[in-house]
Amino acid sequence: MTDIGIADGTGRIPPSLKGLGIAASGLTAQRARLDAIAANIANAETTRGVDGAPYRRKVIRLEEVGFEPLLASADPGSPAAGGEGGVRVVGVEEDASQGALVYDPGHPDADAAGYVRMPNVDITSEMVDLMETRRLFEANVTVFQAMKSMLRRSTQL
Amino acid sequence: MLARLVGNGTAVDQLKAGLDASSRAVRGIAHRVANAGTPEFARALDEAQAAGAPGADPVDLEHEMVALADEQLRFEATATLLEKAYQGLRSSVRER
Repeated sequence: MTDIGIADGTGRIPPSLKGLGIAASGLTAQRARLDAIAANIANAETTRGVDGAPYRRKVIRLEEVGFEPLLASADPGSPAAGGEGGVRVVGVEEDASQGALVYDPGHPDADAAGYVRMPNVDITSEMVDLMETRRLFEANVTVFQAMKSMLRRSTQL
Repeated sequence: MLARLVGNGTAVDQLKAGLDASSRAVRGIAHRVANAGTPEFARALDEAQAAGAPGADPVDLEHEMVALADEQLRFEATATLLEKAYQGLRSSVRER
């Protein structure tokens, strides 16, 4: 396939647009974090999860994708032409810490002594995570737009 | 002969190198911003900085945004100059 700098539908990003792929990977990563935060807040009071145990806080694990700045001299097909760069969602993990024990004898999930094990979700820290996620998403949008306008400018030469 | 005209005696080559440098720099910024929330990346930067590697400062979003704006303006200016250089070449080869 001759590379003319247009996405070819195979999921491969052509070299001229790889920079956009980096910013896009950042957007995907932050959106995954946002999904996890939404699930955590939605289940902040869920005392019976899928396994019957109290809900456990979900944490997204991110991983850096090897980055090699594109060398001007390198052949576009060669490995020297650079790693993709960006970030990748490795998976969803569960926070293993125990939630608070709350005395509520009327609760259907209360034990013999009347205590209920709550999920280990702390709304305040989820809110802080939410704000951070939103700012990082915006930063990646800014980078994406900057790259897009640079690409557009270079087509107008 | 025209190829030599474009290459020599004009700033075209330097300007093209400038555009390449800017887009490389922006790619680096994109990578740092994309990994601003990656704990391993921050740790790797810390280690690299401890080892004395240049450019391994921890990711500071404001700093990255300033660098991005700077690179964007640099790119814009270089592209405008390149456009002018091409315009000059074009008018010099045009029949009168």
